[in-house]
Amino acid sequence: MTYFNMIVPVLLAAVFFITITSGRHKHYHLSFALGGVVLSAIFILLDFSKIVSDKIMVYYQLGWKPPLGITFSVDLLNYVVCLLLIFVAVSALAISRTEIRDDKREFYALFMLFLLGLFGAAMTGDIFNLFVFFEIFSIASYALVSYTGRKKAVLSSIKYLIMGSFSTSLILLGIVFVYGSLGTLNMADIASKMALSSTTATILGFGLLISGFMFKAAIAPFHAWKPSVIRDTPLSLGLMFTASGTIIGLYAIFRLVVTVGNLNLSGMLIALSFVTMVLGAVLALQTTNLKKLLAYSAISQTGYVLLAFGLLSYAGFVYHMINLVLIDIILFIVAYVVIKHFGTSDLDKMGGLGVGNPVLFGSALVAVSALAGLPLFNGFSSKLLIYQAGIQVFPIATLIAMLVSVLTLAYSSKMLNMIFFSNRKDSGVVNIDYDLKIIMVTIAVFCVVLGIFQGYFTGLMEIIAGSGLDRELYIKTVLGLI
Amino acid sequence: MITYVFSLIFVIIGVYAIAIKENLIKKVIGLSIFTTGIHLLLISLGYRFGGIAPILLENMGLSYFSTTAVDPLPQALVLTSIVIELSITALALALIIKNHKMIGTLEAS
Amino acid sequence: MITILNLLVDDWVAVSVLSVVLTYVFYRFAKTDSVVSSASKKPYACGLSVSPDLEIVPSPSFYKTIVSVFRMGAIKKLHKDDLSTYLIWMLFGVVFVSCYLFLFG
Repeated sequence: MTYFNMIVPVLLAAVFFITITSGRHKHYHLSFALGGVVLSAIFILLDFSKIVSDKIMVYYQLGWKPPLGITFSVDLLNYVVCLLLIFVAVSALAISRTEIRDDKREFYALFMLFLLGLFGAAMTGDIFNLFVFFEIFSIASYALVSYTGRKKAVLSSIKYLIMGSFSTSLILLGIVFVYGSLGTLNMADIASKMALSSTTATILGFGLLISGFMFKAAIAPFHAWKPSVIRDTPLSLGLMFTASGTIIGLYAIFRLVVTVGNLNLSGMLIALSFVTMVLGAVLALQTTNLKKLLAYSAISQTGYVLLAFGLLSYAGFVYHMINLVLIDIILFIVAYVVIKHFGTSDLDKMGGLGVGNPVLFGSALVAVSALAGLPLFNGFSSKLLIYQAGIQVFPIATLIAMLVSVLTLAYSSKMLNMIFFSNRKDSGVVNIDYDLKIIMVTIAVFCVVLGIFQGYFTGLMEIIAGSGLDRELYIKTVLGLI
Repeated sequence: MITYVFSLIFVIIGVYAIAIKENLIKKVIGLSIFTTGIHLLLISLGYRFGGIAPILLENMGLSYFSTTAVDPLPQALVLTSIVIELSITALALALIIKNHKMIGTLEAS
Repeated sequence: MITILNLLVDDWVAVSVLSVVLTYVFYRFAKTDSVVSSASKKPYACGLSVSPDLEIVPSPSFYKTIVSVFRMGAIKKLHKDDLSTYLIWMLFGVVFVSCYLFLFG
């Protein structure tokens, strides 16, 4: 009796209940949204013992067995992605409680649809189902970007829509090539057939699929939508796009390249990751808008994750993906509080918060130290894995990663300096709501714990990445041949 | 065979219209043409020469059905995809109208 | 060096003792430096006397010099809000990925 397959219907029920409660009962909207997320968290945690014992959990939709039926196949990597999605969803809902002021019904309904698409894409074992869930959360995000109705928001929503639907059509074209050459849509079945024969059409199909997923993960040259979208949307949505959109894109690329396709893409991924890292860091150094800086920082860190993938250090891939999410949660909450206090997101006009805000400054200091890769924080552990892999495989990669790390230190200390010190002596005490304070401090403590117990967590990441690498077990369990 | 050529032509025209044209409505039309090209490619993958519609009638033998029927799976995929593309086009046009009301231009900048 | 750091961070007793000591030391020094006393400490200017409004270098000018020295402004100029440019980049990305997989797949 598995519980993770109930997440998608529960979120859909949350959408239904949010939509039918009228505008008079505004406080119910957030309750239904939070209830949906909490139920999903309960379902995932109920399956914890099953995933530890079974290694892969499979749910056959409507009872149809693969390769004809659609499966939800959850192994340890999917499980970790779902857990990260829960963290990000709770934080984004906490931010949106005070950020979204007017009629919240459409916002929360679309937000639940967004989350539904993310969870479905994280759990599915069929590439067309992945495409459909991708489209669900993409269309919900196109509508959410233009939610506030301002001029810049609508314009960036149109641009994001055209770029996004072009890339999801590329995913469809990739599915066409893969289906045309292999004859099946199930991921485990494709994996078993790829081992026997892979023609040029199949490889091209995988290339198109990877290009489509790289758009969502904001990897260069598909990164251009992210800064303007995050600048023009509320910060809760920015957090969802940055943290969860990126990890779904990265997870999809991992699943396709490693488990299903077993392709050797190191050269291309390393080249693209160089461009992404350098581009994100250089652009973050020049911008004066706090939201754009967060977007560029996320792009640069995604480049690091891709570099870990290209250097075949899968433990570093998983570890840095987790660190990216944790750091971004703290940074977005800090940014929300700071922008609400100053009323503007222009960094030149901020400053002077360092005196009276110990909790805020402490959390921001933890996040910036983790971002820059200082020891005793979690960023150091994952970057150490990347540097070690780079020295063995391709030393120039380690050199460029270290240079970008210097740039990362530069722009993150710039952000810290301009928010907390700058020209002013004292800008007063920022009033943070207690739920944001709890989330911020919890995740900051989590970052420090991940950094201190580095050996233990590196071993844990090896186990998680190893479950994604185990192709024979995946094929046998999903196709039910055991 | 000719359908593959036409789907390639549609894809090229669609990509040209999305990437090069400045007018937003022309970009949306280009997106629609691009997606139509992909659908045409997908349906023509499942075609079998001289095939029958994939409906199992009463007095039809199973082996006859499986050797002459056209593949129904791409048809299901295309139906799903047409609905998705319809909703994207509707959302895009609604956003373009709202943009036009606020800014007054149909150009993409 | 890396193995020493690994050994250090794996021993949580040593790390927790060290962090408690460091926290206490920082707390003691933070208590002595309040806002008022930091205003009277002037930054070192190689023995010259600096006018009060030049004491704290404003942050934007610091980073602008870095950007202009390494000529990083060229990348920002490419990122104007122009949809067609972004889509052409995406096309180049698709073509690059397809060609790489075609040749080395």
